[in-house]
Amino acid sequence: MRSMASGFRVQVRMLALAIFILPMFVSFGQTLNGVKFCIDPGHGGNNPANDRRIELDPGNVFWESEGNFQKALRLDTLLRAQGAWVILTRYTNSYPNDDEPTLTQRWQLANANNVNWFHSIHSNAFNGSTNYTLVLLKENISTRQPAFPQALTMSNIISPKIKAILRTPGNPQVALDYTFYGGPNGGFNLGVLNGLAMPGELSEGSFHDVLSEYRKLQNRAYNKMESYALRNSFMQYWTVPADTQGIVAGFQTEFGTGRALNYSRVVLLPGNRVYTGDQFNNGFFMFDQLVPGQYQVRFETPGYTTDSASFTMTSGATVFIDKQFESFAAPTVVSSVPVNGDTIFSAERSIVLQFSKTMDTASVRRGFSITPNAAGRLLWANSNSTLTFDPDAVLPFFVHYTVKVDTQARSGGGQQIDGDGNGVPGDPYFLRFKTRDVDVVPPQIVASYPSAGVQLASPTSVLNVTFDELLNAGTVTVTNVVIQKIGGSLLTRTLEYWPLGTRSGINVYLASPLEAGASYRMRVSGVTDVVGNPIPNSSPIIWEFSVAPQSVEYTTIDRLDTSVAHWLPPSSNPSTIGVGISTFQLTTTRVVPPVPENAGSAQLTYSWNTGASAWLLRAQAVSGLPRNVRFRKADNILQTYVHGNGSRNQFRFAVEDSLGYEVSKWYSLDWIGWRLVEWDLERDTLGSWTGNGQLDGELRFDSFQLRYVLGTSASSGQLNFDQLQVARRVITSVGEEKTIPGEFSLGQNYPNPFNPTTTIKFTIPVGTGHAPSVLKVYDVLGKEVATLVNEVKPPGEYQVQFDASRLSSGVYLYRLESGAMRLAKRMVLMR
Amino acid sequence: MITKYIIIPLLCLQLPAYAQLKITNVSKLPLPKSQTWSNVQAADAKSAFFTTSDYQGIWRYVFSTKSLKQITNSPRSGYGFAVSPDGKSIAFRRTLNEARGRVQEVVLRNLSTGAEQILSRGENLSTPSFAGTKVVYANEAKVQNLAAVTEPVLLGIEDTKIVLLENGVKRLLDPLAKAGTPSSYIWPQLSPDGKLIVVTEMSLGAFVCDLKGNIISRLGRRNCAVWTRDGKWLVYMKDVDDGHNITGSDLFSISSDGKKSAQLTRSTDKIELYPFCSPVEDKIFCNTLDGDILVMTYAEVGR
Repeated sequence: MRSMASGFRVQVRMLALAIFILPMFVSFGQTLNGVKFCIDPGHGGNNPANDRRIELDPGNVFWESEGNFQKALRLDTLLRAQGAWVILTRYTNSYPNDDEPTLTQRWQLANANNVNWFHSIHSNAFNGSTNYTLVLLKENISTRQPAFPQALTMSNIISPKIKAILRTPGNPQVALDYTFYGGPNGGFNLGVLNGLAMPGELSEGSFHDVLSEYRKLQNRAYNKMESYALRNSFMQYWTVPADTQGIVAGFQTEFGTGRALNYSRVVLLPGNRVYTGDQFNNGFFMFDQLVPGQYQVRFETPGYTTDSASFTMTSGATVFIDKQFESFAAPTVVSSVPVNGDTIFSAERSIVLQFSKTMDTASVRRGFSITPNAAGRLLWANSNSTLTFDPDAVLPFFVHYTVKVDTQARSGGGQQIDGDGNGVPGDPYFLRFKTRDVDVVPPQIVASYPSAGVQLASPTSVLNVTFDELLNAGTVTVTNVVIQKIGGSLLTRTLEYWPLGTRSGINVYLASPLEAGASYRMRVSGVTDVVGNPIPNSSPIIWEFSVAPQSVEYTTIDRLDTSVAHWLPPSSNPSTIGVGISTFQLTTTRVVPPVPENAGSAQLTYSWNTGASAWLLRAQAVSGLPRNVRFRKADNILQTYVHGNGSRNQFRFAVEDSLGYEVSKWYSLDWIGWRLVEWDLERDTLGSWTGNGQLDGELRFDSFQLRYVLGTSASSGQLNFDQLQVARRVITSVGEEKTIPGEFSLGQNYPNPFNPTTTIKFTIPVGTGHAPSVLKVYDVLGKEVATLVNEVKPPGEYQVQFDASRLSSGVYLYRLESGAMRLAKRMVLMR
Repeated sequence: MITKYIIIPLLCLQLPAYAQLKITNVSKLPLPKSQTWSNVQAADAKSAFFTTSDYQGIWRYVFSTKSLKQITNSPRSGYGFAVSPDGKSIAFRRTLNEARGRVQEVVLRNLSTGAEQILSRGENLSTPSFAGTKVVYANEAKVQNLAAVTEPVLLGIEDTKIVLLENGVKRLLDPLAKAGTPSSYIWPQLSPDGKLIVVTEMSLGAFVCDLKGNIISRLGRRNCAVWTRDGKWLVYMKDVDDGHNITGSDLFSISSDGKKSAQLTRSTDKIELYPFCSPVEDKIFCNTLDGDILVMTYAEVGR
């Protein structure tokens, strides 16, 4: 019995020990023991050269590096808790000397420490609306297969896990880097993965240029969610039992307006754990480390209705609870059409009131009146926060009206209206305006390109006429918009109409460019505005212009067709100031039709912080081909097509010379549609910026710059840029039927860079006798890859097409020989 | 013969008033384009040893015959291999299973016969080095053949610190140790006379120290700094990136005291990376981002 009792006590002690230890092992066991990770918080140091700055809420700057760093720090903690060995590529985000780790240092750290796995944490950016989770891994460019097959397995785990926990709206994606960035057409291996000696990948958890995501990424608990997703992915990959502890999280928004709640207060029961929200307009809350069981969250944000929700936490689950709350604040009218005090309100338009929150429609209907009385309908939109009064008939002209929303008007939650918006409810809202007379004025031309009397520096095939009002698109015809060579015939053309707000523009695209040395006459008539007022055929608008006698050769700086990866986003540029939002990205939906093989353009979307004291936006080319094209001021004209928005914002070019940066004059963006903007580097007066006011030595393109002019410019807008190039004047005799060149010459190929065809011009002068002319193409090793010409050519000007379809990207030389004469140039094939 | 490479600018045009390095010739190895060649890690007057960008094997290029031969196709063997001082053997680490339960092996291969000897197998092996004819390496931090080490040997990095073997003793160097801030070292290299170390700390940049870890000179951001064979100069790369992509890199030289420097390459169409100085000739090897191997002859000028 004693021994049995003793044995029983031993068993009880062992059982007790097991009961005590086992949960500790399960909860805190070293489950990734022996696995070594290198975690890379992408970017760093708020250095605009390699970090991403975004300021969608004015005054609230977010750097991608900061979000990445927060995620990495928490992932470090989570992985160490699982027994893993972890090293981060950086333990700070403070690099005052811009000496944050380079990409080469990051993977070298992983290699030197012989880690099992590398992971780089990033967030993404594209067009301000796209948002999905993306994981990229290194591709072997030769085989087009993953360089590390295991990284593909891991990526396929990570991507859906991040998507699930962040609830990014798009489908989660996994991609090979080289293919993702264009494959043979400019693709590359991600620098941070390029030298790894072990598997690794790069996650772009979500898109920080999407307003809601930008706000969420400033919340540390939200970032921790992504850290959990990554940790859980690694645990799944190494077949570690999943964490039994769960997460409850969600978003709190204001009922009706959808605005996120700041400084929210959420309490978790049992335990009375309190979450306090931040000020970044995300409304996020989160509690983690929840063991399975029954819970309740109570929402107690000051100024809002309270609420609660009960839920069951199962093992390792993530529970989402999103809630809407009614604000205690009284409703106000935050904007109106017309604005209060308007004296030229168009009589045929509707009246719109935007309330600060969802309204009780019945009470507003009872409180709404318009004096003098006008019959009409009240229409509601945007969760009953936008009220439109749609008159049954056009309002009389020159009449003073007063719209009133009286004090019986209530919000959806029952708060009485605060008409004057002073924070004290119980006073009516008034809107006073005056209607204007009927429109009897035909459309006026406010800008044209070319304008009357100018001599264009170079030929173009894109003309523009901009009007002060919208046109009847049916009257925008080639019959009504005519261009004729003086002393010649009408030019073949197509038109494109660009309505924009209350104004509009017409592009005239010529089938062939204007001729050097020729003069032209343009005529517009028969075009009407939207109410039918025409530019009379009996009084057409006519103007003349000419083209400089020199022909030009073009060198492409950036086609802006397939990528803007070499451009620093304006929001990340330290010179950018006074800008609210800005994005600079590629679009394929708006291009200049006459530019050969044109596939895209760069689209700049911007808004100005009108309360600032200075404004400048700089879209800067910082690497790659746009920076490799060098030119001098002599005979050169810097050009780009700009799709203007009539905003009267101002645009200019900047170039880098041997001493600094120089700029062109400012061009007022008073046109709508495409036009060629030119800076004659030799003849035009320079603007003033940081340089010495002279173009010194060799030049490189630097940036497009934009500024806001207080009282004149629009506060936001969108522009497109296409085909950035240098036009070089060449000395030719124009006007002769045929030019017999006296000089042996070889022109720069156009376009350059090219893909896959380009044109090479050359001239054979008098005096070459019967020597054959030979034009050959060589690669950089001196190996001949093509013979384009090999025959006796009489004196004259020639051009040949070179098709490089079968060649790989790179630099090629082309050489022209005739007798003892020899010339060579180089060109770049870029796929 | 090496194919003449005609794009990289060859010469620094202005001679300095003090001694500095200058590139006098640049050539490109005529290698097939089927691979992205990378990281020359050993060379003598006859040949150079290098790998590919994903370290899948080791290749040897013989200058006189212009022949290229793959030494091994062992996975990930191209990172951190070593050729024996007598040139007869090569030691490398390969990773046989990169997934769960990684297996690494340190292998010694006879360069003449191709015979291979697996010296060790484990989950966490260091890259190997030679002490005379003996291969030294660490298995889970335990150094093998430590007794054979008489001259100083750097055995890479262990737990972010520099591993120095000297007189049969292993020491971890942490020259820039600061309380509360982890130091992380990369790119350590012993000077040709075995008395100094050049190494980069992730946050604080490159520096030169002695074998006790005493700082001799701070060099700042000088990536992948390597000694010239006379030990007077360090050659390094100045690589720049936009956070996702390496956008440029040129090679520079700097005196070991950090006082004299010169730009060695100025190419606009090539990105030169990972210099390696020949131990027997005044030559620098490097690879380009797009997978070429360049050979540069240098001279000291301005003396």
